[in-house]
Amino acid sequence: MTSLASISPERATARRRLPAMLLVACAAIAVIVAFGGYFVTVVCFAAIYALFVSGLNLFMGYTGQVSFGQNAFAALGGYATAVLTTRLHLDPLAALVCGALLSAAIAAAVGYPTLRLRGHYLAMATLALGLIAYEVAVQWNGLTQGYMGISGIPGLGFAGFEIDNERLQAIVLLAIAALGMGAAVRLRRSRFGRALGAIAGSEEAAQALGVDVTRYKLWAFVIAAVYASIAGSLMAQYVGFVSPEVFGLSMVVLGFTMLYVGGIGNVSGPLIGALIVEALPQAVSGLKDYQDLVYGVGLLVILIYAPKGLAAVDRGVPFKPGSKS
Amino acid sequence: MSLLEIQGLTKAFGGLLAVNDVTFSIEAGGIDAVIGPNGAGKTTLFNLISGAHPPTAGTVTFAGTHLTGLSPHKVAACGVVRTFQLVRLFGEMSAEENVRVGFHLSTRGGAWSALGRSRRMRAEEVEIAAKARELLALVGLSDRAETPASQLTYGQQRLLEIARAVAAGPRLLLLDEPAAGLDTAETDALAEIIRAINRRGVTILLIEHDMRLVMGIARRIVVLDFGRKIADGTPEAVARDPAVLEAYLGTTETALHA
Repeated sequence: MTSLASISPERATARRRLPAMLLVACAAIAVIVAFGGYFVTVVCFAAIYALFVSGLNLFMGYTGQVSFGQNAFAALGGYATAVLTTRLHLDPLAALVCGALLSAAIAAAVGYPTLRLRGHYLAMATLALGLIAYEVAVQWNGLTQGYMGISGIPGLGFAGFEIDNERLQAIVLLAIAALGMGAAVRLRRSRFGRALGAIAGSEEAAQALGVDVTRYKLWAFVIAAVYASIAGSLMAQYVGFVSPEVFGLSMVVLGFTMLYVGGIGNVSGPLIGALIVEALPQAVSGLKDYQDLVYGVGLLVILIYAPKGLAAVDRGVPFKPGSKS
Repeated sequence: MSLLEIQGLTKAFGGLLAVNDVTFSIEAGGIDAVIGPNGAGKTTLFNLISGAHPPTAGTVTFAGTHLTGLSPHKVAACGVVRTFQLVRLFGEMSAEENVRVGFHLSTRGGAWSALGRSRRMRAEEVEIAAKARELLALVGLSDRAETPASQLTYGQQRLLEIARAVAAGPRLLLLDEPAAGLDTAETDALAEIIRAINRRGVTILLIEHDMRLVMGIARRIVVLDFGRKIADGTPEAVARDPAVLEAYLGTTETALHA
């Protein structure tokens, strides 16, 4: 009886899907090893963005809030990695952890007053956060070297060991993204995740059941910031360079596109969205002048025919956190 | 000492006194009702008790604790849990998961425990899953456990909201028009469910328009009109009270039975 009751429907589904997911992972690795080249670069960026968007999904999809300012935390992570590794010659992994801790602290400090706002007001406040981060990156010359940015950042690796094989980098980045998404699944399927889902459903009802809405929103914001920061650090390590533009508004637009194309509120949505949005421009690049047009139309078609995102297509109904799929 | 004591409770919205110097108390163990015409201040009264609005004046004391000024989640933690006039479910979640959220107060663990998935946490999940099923059975929704809340019928949604509120372990359950939108058969079933919850030791205070339901289950009735308390007593006494008949039910006694 206990063992039956302990397997909730969503877990049973997850177990049924496990072999398929492993197959996809093996296939992806095989393709990476076989092809190499630009395809691998696309996969690397997609993996980094999948992590970034997973954090965004936690805050927006699970908790039902809105943030246009996650790029601020990606910038924090990226610059922390850049400064700590080039100036203080810190280990890249240690720099990544420092950046994440710094982002968490700043998210908590900024989120406390900001998260009282709702809807459009929260959107505006968080948008300002991204713009402030951009301005700081431009103006704080002594630390950030302004528009010039910081180059010479050591690549992915830890403890003096640097991964310089591009295919291996892709696999490591995919593994990190998978780890991040696995953590997101665990967060969702818990008392903590249910409280976030309750806030998305109705703040008043959540409060009436004893959920400290302010506190849980802040937690979601801080965790999303940590995801963004780690993505920013990995970006800095992978590209070897940071500048204000790397973490500009385009990152926000890209993140949102991935979130909606992949499927908001869906655990696998961020990875699917990131892969499509990263790969689509490459797939249509042969069309020269028309490539932007075709890219735009492609996204529109996806959003019209899969309004809940590509990750929800096979189920007919949207897979939202906790619902039966 | 009474379970809930409301003393001189007043709420002004601008110049409008939605609740005006209301005083009454609720004894533990009963089913009491607040009635009154539309706009009498019933829901505002609930909002003041549950902490959704701060009162302009007056106090709310629950089992010796001052609730006045506490935020809603703290009021819930004190043992006062409410439902809403317009059902507020977590529409994307299954019926069972809605009830599981109700166990928030009686369980522990945040983000770290979610990531760790300790043996204790998994055991707790199994336990609340079983309890959630039991509460779904109580309101007759056992076969709807996996259905997303938004796909339930209106009557089922009302019952689910009540099951979810009971999961939160209230000592006092505030039901805001639980029969609104229900047909006669559903209302009769609801009356039985409310009695069953009451038998579990939960004191119940409900706002209701359905006089048949109120007269059938309430032990005592408080009548509000234009924010003021105009009567307070047994259903029989209230039904005969001239002030109630005039202000709320019309001018003749036949209106009550219409």
